[in-house]
Amino acid sequence: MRVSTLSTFGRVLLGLRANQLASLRAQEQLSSGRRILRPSDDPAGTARALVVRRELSRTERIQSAIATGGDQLQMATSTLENASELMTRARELVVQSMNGTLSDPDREAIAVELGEIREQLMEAANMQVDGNYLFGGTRSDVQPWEELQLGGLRRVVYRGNRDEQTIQVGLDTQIAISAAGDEVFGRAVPGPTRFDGLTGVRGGVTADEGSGYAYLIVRHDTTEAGTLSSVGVGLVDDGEDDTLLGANALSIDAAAGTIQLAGGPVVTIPPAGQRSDVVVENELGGELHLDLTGWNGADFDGTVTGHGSVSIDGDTFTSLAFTEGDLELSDGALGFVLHVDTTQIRRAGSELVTFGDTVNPFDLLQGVVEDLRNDGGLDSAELNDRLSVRLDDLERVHDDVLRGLGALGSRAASLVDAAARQEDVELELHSRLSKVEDADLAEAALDLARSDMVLQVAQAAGARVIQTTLLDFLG
Amino acid sequence: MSNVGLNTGLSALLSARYMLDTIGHNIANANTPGYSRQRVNLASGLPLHLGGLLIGGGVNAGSVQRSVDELLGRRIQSQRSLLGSLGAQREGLASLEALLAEPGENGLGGLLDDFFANVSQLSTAPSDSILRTSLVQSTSALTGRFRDLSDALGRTTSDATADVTSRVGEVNELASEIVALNLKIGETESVNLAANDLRDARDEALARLSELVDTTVVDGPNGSVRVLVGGNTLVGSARANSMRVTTDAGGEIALQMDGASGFVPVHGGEIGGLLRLGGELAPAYRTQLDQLAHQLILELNRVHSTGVAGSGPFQSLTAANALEDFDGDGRVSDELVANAGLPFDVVSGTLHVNVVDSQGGVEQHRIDLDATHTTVQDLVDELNEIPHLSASVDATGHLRIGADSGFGFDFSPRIDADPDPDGVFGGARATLGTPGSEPFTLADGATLDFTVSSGGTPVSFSIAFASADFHEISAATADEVAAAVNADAGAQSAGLHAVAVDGHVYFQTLSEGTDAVLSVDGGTAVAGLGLTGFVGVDVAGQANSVDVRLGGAYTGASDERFVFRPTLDGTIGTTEGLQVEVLDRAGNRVALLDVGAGYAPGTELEVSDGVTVTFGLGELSATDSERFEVELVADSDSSDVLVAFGLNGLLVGSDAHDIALAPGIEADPANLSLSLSGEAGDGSVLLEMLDVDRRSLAGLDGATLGGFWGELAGGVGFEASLADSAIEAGGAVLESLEQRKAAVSGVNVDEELVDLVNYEQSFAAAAQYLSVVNQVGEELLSLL
Repeated sequence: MRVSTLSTFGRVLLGLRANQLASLRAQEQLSSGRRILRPSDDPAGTARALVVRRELSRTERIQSAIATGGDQLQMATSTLENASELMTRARELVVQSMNGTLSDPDREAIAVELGEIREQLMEAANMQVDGNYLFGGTRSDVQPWEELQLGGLRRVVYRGNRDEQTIQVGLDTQIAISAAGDEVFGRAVPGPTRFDGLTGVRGGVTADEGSGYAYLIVRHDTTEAGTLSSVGVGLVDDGEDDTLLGANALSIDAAAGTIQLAGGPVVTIPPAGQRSDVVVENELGGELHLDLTGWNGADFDGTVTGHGSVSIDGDTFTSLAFTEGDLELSDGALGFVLHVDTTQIRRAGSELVTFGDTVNPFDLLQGVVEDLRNDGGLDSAELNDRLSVRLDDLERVHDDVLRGLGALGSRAASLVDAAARQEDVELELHSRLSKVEDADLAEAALDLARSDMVLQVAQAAGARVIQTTLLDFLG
Repeated sequence: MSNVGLNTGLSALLSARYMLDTIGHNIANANTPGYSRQRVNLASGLPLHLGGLLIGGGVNAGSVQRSVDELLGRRIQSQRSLLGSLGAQREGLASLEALLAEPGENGLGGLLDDFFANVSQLSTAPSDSILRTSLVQSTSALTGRFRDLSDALGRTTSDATADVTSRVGEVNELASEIVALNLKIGETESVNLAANDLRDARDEALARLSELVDTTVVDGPNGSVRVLVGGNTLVGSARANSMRVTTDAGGEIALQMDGASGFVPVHGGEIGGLLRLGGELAPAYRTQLDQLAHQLILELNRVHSTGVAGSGPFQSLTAANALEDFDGDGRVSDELVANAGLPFDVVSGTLHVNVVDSQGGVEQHRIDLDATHTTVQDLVDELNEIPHLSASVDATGHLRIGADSGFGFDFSPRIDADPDPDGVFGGARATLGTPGSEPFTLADGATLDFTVSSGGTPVSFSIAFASADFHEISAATADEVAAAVNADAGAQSAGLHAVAVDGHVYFQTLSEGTDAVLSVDGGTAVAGLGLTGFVGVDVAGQANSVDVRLGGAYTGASDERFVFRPTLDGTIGTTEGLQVEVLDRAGNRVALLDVGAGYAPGTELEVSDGVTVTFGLGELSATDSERFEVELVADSDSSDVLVAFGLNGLLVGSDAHDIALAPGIEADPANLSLSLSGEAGDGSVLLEMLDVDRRSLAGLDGATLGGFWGELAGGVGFEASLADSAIEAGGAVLESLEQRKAAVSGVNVDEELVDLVNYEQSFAAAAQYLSVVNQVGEELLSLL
């Protein structure tokens, strides 16, 4: 076959071009580290690589969300830890205050410190991060715990909600990164209404509606002396300072020189001259003041009745007949409805009413502070009884905080697990992507060396071919 | 004698010289493209009869002949057509590949990733304004890239059209050139001269032409050739027809030729390749891109439109998509909603609309849509019927919905927290309900007598029912009866109110408390309403009204309606064994809640499917048929009407060309509708958006967003790599054909040099001979 000069040169050119292109391709792979620089380099590989890239992006964003959510949980956890410490200190103080030998200034000091603890707890419960409240559920733009003046009482109410703010931590898994304040700071568990037993009032038949504490004011209005005047005994100041209520049996034993009111302690009648104001108490501590200066020395067995009324809001008083088994009292401002059995009321006072286990720590501490300041005039035994009621509630709210800490802790642990899983997934995806997209550098280096070598050989051979001409040998 | 010698010598000289000239021509044209080497055909001259001998008459140069293989030439032409087509496509595809920027971080896939990453980050703090802005920006970037790609694909088509036009110009020039050459070759060869160089020139023109279009070359008379393109004659024996670029019925580019009817099909050559690139490939990719954009808009808007905006319920919304007047009667209101030119389908389903008042109280309404019956006007009317809401279609065909001042609206699937505003269930008003449910058998003029007292003097009055107020009075619905009662002047002044719940009618005093008393005294409608046993019975209100609160989020798969009713008469938290029964729409019991002794009023109870309820203190009565109902919504827009109209969407547009971020959201990121409950920390819509990323979408034939994009990019790469392999293979074939052609027609300079030496010596020898002949002649002359 003939070979034309043009085609000879042409073929050398083609060979050079092809080898240069191969060299260029190998060099592209080496300098970019990638095997696929454009879809046409490996169309099926490109389609696969794109899918893997989407999955990789998914794990990255999940990890990012986990990190942010984890920070928020961490913030909430350390706030709750602080709250728990505050509550431990509060418990210590309440126990301390139940010591009967404390003086009034001591009690006041404890009250002041408890007041400060309450403020700090409010701050913790209303903790914000970047303008978002941590303990309001999904209502993160509203301060969760708000202090109000309702019905003459300072009360703290929850303004958040119970919904959970969740983030995606896996393809199908979500974890909540918010906490509902009323689950952690005083989880309200409605239940039977409790009374502290001060006045003898008991719960009625119908269910009650209310939350936290209420104070049932049982007031003494008048004392009915009955037949006392028959032995020359009268009331002091018309019974103004009396606190007994209901029908109480009074017996004066002239021989023993004692007076006893119902089931209360036996009181020795003081010598003459000191009989103008003799105080006898019934079993609940309801007081009766008697003026025995005119006593004729005879025995007496009769009934003295204390009349009174009851109120739950301090404004509206309902007169007591001591026969109501299911008296309904309501406080419109607070929305409370209380049903009481008045048959066993024997003493006036301010009865602490607890609606189930619904009190929050702030109202609780407020109540303790008020108890310690003892405006209700309780004696130390009664005060201790009341404080121990508060202490039970304090233990309960502390448990709620600890339980909340536990829940947050387990969520944080789940986040850590989820993050670890996503890291594993990410590693695997990177490896898959690399297999598809990345150049095998050793192979590419070999390819480059090889194509360079081939190029050089082609150049050398081509040079020989194009230079061989008859002209060199013609004369 | 001497003449013969001189002639022979001269012929030798001349022939040698012609050979040398031709060799020179060959050497000069060794590198000329398309040149076929020429040779002078030599033939020995006619012998002369001299002295009884036949003496040879020298040499005659016959003709100059070119060495060419016509068949090979044709094959090369068709191969060049093929490669021309592939080359044009490959070039266009290379640009498209570069545009896609995949695999990489900056392609559309990377922008999709950025978008979803921002969605995920925002879900950790949905009300954070910086993160919201970040989401808005990444959405803009994503939609901008869709538009850029769509435009680029459009430009690919228009650029291809421009390239075709310029090549068609070249085709026409070549055709004229070939015709001119045809004529010249005809003239030259008619006088028996070989028109070698002209034929070479014509072959070159044919080769260049075949690079541009796929040609069929046919030999014609007088040495001419005819060229056919797609069966139509481009070059005839004597004249050329010109081609021109037009558009066909579908607006696509097409070619026409003079003297031919219809369009010229061109499949090869650069023009064929460009036509395929601009008319098939780029539009196909654009369609795929449009499909991806369309589904993205559909899925994201579906999730976003039923969310509650960060800026609260809407005062007004205007649809982004306009309605079209299909039947051409100048109005859009009579078009079916499902067939009014909206870019997304409307199917039969339900739309739930919530109207929110300034205190946050919510009224829920539903609109049922039927794809085959509901017209635009029907929808507008139903929206207008919702209290405090108004709707209209403006002059440009956009639907507008507005709320009265002090009210707002949204479409979220929230649970109505206060499902019993009239206090039918354990309320403080005196309430008497019909024991049975609709339909009620009444007659025109039937009466119902009441006595109502609110603590003062009792008022007695009678209500008469008129057929005009009922669709069919013998089958009266609870709503109709309640409406008739509420419209009665006597009832209004006495303070009697009626409400329909779960198909029962409830008669209530408007006043509350134990002093509110009502009784049914008689009347001809008593039997039809089933109140016979209640005639003369006093029903009183109560001091405490049971405060019912619903909460939680409905997790059921389909819409449902729960009815709550007490099993006994009793007091919450007090009466032994008091329970509330919960029934679903089909009448099945879904829960039995213990609210008697042992239940503390205010305790949250789980009903079912994520719904919780708390009951406050109060009295319930089963005898009075007390109940309340609540609608639970799984998908508050199962008809997709919000997406179709473009109401409260995240994105606007319908394909890759016009996809964009909704202007209202771009202007103020607080308008992002990210929650279902309206709370600041609720990012439920964001979590649903994340789900769109990983779901297989029916509109993408079961692929995910990323998978579909991968197929698109892979498809471009596949087309390009196919072209690459075809070009490589075709190039190899062309090369071997060219080499064979070179073997036949190419000039080998060494060969020519050998011939040069040969014919130089021939010439020298012939010159020597001539000199000898001359000498012999002279010697002869000297003898004389």
